[in-house]
Amino acid sequence: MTASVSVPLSQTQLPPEVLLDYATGAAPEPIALAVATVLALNPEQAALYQRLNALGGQLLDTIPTVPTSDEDEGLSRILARLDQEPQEAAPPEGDADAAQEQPGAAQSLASQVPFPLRSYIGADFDRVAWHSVMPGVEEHVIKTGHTGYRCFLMRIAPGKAMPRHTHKGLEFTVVLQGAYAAADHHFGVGDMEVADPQVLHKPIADSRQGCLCLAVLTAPLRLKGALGWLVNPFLRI
Amino acid sequence: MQLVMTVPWKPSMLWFRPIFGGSGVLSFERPSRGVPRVPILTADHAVDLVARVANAADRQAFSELYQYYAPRLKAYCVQRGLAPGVADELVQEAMVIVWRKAASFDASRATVSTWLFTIIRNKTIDRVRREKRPDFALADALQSDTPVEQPDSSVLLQEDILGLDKAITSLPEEQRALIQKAFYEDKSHRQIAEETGVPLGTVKSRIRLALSRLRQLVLE
Repeated sequence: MTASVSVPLSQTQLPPEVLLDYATGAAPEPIALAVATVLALNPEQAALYQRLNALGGQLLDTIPTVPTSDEDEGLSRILARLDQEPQEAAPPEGDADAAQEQPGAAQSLASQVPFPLRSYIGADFDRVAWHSVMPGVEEHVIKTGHTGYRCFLMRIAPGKAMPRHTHKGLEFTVVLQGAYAAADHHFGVGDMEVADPQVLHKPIADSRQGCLCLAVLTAPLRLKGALGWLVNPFLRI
Repeated sequence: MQLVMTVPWKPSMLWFRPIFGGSGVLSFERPSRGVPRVPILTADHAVDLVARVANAADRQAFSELYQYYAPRLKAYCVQRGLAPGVADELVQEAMVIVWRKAASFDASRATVSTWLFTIIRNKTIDRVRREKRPDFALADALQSDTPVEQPDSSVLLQEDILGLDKAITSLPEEQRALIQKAFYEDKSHRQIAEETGVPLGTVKSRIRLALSRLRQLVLE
């Protein structure tokens, strides 16, 4: 039995170099949140991430060691400290999330929030404070510890086209529910689009399901055309 | 029940790396001048030590883990540019987590070294950037209504252990150096491109080649 994992070189999957940044710890919090969300939705990517962690572990094994400044004293110090450090019990069999999400619980499957996002927005998409930015488009800004980037959820009605725009910086988009089409590609749940400044696109939400996505902007959007000019102040980007 | 007691490892796997630090596959070229010897630790013994910490609050087992890992965790921190004093603090904090969360360690999903790597990486992010580290839960994918095949974690671990050494050794030097730099230094692939003067597109394609090769070789 092999867990066959395909190489994600497609335009719609989490780019390997972005995954590497997450594994090494170099990705800033909003990007890390986007990557973690992909991993929660996409077991193949999660499997590759575990391999990268294993690489990190191997690095620890082969790294030229640096003695701690206090040598033996460091060990005695930490041993003395352990009395104040209660050991935690093992997590329950199965998953803690599962216990909270039994059928019959208040929230429907469709409103479930992927694990990494829960500490930011709660566990239910329907309880997020959405606000309308234009007909058929709602958004919710997510606050992270990294203030330079803009991080937000977007909920786009079925068939709705977003204003055409380009980017000053990068735009990372993760599909959480539904799908959208942009620049000849189809983005489904667990996919990630990384759009750079050269990309001029006009995403269109799936005609049946619409689209719920997480977006991270490293710099303001530039909207094109009259509609963009009108909408721009409302987007406050 | 403790997970460590039910690890589906084959005996042949237990000696995948008879002595930690022996392969040097990803090690620095820097000569280890006058560095004191640190204890050696086999992978299965490390798992056993964590189990003893979890099950019996065994301080002797904890001390053994400390003696092996503390100088490595410190090296990692120093390599990422942290002052020695801060590095010492982070090592202490990381080892306290080992004590507190030993029962959560799942030997079917990672080696102890991999676990320690994730702990110190997250500690470093927390300290240096004062940011949260959003983590994912693999179990969460099972909860989602996306019909995807769940990889068998024990199979993955076996592949990781048996294949990683081979996979990394066989990478072209430029790819290996890049991956190594990415792990050791707190730099994104974009920063690495800027610093080294290698075009961003080249950095990306090297990473893509390296990662796809890692996957392929692990599966061979």
